[in-house]
Amino acid sequence: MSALLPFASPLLLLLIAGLLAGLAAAQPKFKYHWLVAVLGSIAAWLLAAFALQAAGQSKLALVEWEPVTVYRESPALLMDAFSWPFGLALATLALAVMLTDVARAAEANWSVWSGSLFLIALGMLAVSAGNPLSLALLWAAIDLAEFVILLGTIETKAMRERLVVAFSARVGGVLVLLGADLSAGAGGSPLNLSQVSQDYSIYLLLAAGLRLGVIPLHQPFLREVPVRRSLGTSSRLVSAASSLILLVRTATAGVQSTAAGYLFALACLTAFYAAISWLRSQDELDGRPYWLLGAGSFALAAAVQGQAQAALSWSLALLFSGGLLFLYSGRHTSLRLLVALGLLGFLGLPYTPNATGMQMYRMPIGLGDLVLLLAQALMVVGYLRHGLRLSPPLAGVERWVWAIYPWGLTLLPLVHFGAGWWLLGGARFEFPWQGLAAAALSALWILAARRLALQATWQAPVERLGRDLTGILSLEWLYRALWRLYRPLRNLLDFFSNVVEGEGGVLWALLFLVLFMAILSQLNSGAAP
Amino acid sequence: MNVALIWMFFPAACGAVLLFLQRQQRLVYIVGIVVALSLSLLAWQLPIGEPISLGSAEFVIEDSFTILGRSFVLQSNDRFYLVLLYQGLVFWFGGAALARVNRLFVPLGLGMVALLTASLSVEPFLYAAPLLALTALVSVPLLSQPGKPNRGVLRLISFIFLGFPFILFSGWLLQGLETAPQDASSLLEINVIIGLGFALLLGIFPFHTWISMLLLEGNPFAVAFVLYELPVAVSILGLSFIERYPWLITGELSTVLQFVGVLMVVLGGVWAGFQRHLGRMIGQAVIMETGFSLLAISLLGSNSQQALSLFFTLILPRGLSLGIWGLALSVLQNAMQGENKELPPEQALNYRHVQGIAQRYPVASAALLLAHFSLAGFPLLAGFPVRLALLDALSDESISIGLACLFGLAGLMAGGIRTLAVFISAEGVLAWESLETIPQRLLLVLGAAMLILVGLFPQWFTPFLVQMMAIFPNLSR
Amino acid sequence: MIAQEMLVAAAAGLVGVTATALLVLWTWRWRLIVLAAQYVGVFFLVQASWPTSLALTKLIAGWIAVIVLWLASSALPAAGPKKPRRFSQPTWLTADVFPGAVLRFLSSLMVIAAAISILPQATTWLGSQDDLTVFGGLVLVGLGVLHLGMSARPFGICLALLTFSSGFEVLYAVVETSAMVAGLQAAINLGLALAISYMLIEPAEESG
Repeated sequence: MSALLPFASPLLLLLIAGLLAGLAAAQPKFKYHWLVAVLGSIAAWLLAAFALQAAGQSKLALVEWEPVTVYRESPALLMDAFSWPFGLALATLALAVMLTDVARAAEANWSVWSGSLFLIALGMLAVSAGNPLSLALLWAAIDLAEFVILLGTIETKAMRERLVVAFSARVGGVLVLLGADLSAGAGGSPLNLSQVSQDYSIYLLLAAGLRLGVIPLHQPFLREVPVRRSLGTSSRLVSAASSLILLVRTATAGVQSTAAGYLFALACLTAFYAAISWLRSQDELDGRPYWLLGAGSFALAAAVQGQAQAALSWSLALLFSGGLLFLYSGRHTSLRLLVALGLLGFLGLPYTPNATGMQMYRMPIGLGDLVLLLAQALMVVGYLRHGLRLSPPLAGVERWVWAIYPWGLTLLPLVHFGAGWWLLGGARFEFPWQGLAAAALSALWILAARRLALQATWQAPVERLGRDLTGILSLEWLYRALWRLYRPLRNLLDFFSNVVEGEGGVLWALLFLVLFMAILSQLNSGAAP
Repeated sequence: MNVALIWMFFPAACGAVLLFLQRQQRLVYIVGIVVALSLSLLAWQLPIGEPISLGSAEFVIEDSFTILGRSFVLQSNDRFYLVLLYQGLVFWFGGAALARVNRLFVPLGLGMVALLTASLSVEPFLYAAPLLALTALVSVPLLSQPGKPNRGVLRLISFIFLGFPFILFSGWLLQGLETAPQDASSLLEINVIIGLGFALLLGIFPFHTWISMLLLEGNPFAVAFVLYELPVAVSILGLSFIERYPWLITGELSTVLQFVGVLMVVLGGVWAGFQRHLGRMIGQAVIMETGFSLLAISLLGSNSQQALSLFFTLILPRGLSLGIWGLALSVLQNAMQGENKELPPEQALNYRHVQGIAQRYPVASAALLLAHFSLAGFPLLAGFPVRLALLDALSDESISIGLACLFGLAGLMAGGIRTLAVFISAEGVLAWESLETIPQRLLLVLGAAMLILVGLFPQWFTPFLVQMMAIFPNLSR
Repeated sequence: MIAQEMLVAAAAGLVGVTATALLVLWTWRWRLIVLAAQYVGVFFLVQASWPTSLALTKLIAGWIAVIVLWLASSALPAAGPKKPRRFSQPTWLTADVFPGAVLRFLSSLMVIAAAISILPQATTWLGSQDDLTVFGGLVLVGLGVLHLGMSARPFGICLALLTFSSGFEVLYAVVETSAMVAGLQAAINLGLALAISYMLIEPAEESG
């Protein structure tokens, strides 16, 4: 029972999600779904907050796959200093989603809450995955759940195609993870997530990068899917968190030097593209995919250099600061302070939670670092741009909504700062000048933009430049070219099928057999001394 | 009372009687299911070759039956396989009632399984080859409609006919080797002959074409049934060879099996990735399954217990996935043909005709995709644990084999993702409705749940499957 | 003894001619008559290795198969096995036209020549003294495979497989005498004829 305690939080959330669905089915007149969800989320948050303290680093075998002559590993969970902050972030997100949903009464109902809690619970389990097998299982569960949830809300054929592309990239990530697991097993030392070997870190980074859309850069959702805000936020952040945990764990090992350069360059490129796109987005929901891509790229850049704490710091910034902005649906001037707190959580100034994230920058500073710095500045400007808008206003709501909604939002920066100070040691970190530089660059950008905005002649060329740049960096042109290769290849295979299945198929088969045996005998004779 | 009477003649006789009750389809299905269920229960509970007391009477189920100078022997070790065979039949008969298969499905299904039991028990074991050829012939009415020849069926019969003589000849050669000294050239000769025989019987490259062709014109459920039963039986015959002559599985044969297995997995995967016909997609998955079986057998040389465990563990996810895939596909094929009477059966399952079909047949579409992904080794689903285990074991031999198989699986997954894209490809908001009948929905949902259950808790099922290796006492020692 | 050898030689010649004729001829009636004759040859070839009573099963099973195919073919509305709708138009190689027939004839001569060339190795391999029986078996197997490669329709495939199967039976009879195998072979040949007939004949009324 005590072994179960560190993992009780996601299990409780799963239970609550099931309970909400059960109540809706059994008692259609039941009105207190929200209350059940909130109470469950509070309990889950408390369990998550004290999970690490309760048992320290612990491992739990979920089920034993038997016989062991067949199955080498079984699903297991792991609670340690990396999984705990992620779990806490997701538990906080769950509570924040429930609390802020009072301001979105029109679009919130039991199914949204149940779906959010279910996804977040899966995410919490995924960040606690104890081995690659468990991570693959939980990634698959998250992907399927997210796919089903999004499918019901998408209205256009093109967006559905995008959804499938996103799903396939995720599946690709799962396959790469399994490939890494196989390679490690073949090498005689099964992959251990709590102590990743540098030999396989490149595969793991690739797996996580593929799922995040960072390596190779791909952005299936050029436009955000029109899904309910809280459910959409939960699903995107859960999915990101489940991939980021692998980045962080891999960062403890770092990457071998030859591959590290390429991966770092890719991360810089993606960060820059994402930052421009985030800045150009209509609003925070439209730009959400770019936020994930941008902050994910920073985490990857840190992981490539073996900076696990920096990768963790960026990951938490993505979740907390991002979560705050995406749940900030009802705007009011008095709530701008919260946006500022969210920004501080991301900026990387001294004594703020993401100060540790600044370890991502190398010394002496190189071209890639400059690109990252510029990207960070653009992300900050974008955050400000999307956060300081005052529409849609939070007006005409009952007083109790005013009492609860801000608390939901406040929770995120509050826990972020707490986790940052106590866990990451951000406050004890040396003075990170890069955060200040990014802030200064952001300020410069804002000033320049204001100036340019006054001169109409500049607007069109700048806009065109931004569009062209994102067009080139998005690599869409590359994927289109690859897709064009697909058709001739398919025709070739069709032709071959027609030949072997046609009237002369039997003779063709015999001919192939002769060829096949000739090749085999050649191989054998070649192998013989 | 003997084993042949219970598990061969009785089901065959029931099948023959049911042939004459074609007008009462419901009765035929009920009788078929009851007979199969009873036989599986008997196989589970009835001790073979030991005295059984029934009140004051005491009798023994003789373990052998002799006819034309040859015997059919079933021992206690074979009981688990019999349970699987007849329990599987219950599952297939249950689905057949909803898949609108040929009316002869139940009688011929019973006949086929009786022949498969005979092929398992015949001594000397190499006479199983003609029995398997007969099984293939019995399956013809299930795969083809009267008056409408199916090219795939013709190709299947052709290759089976070409294949079984090789098995008989290899048996004769092996008998000769038991007395004569073994030299390298005669060993190579035997390996080539056995290899050719099994390549033809199992549909191994380049004799694999019939597998996809069958799915073009036949009822997918019936074809899935045949594609499940026949390869398993042929593989067991192959294992019988190795059981009897363990020196066959030399390093060279292992290498050849691995080469061919990988080739089939990779080719099947690549073809699946480019496939545009839902039926043929099953064919590619079956080709890959054969490849996986060969790969499991190839491990016999290094760790025979693990190899056999993996070989038998592959069977359940395969049967479950193929059954659900076949049923879902039959539902969709019938739907397509119902909506467009002019549509030739071989085109009904083309991608262009099933675009957006998930809106109208969500349960069948989802079940089909789950079965597809299960065979592609998608985590959470039935096929995943055993594939991962097999790939792990293969990677120990050579990591390139493991990664090549993973590549093949990725191809099959790509095929599944393309199918998914086609299923939900419709303009506007998806207007969901479920046009499947209630029994269809129930069975498909039950099947999908089973896929997930087996995928998450393989420890509930694998121990039973592993026990089947008792058929081969020498190898499993 | 000499009479026996002459009988086997005649039988080997007969199966060579019939198997070639099955390739070249086009009318189903003629082909089935030739197939029936081929089984006579097969009977004598098998009888060289097996007791007559056992060898007789080949003849009887073969003739029953011929009868089944005859009944199926005569039940068809057209003058012969009709072209199923899903099969492509016959090419000049497979159609009932003179150049195709000439090519098939020449191909069969090549197969017979190949059979003669590998005959010594085959007899050694099978450990047989009876060259003619082995020759007959090889010719049937070779021409059966050739026929199979050149056929696309059920009827032609059936004839090809029966020819191939006959060849195997002749060769296997040289090395093994087994009533079980004889019975199974007979069942398989009959099963094939029945299966092909099933595919050829459309039901009189829709069975729903």
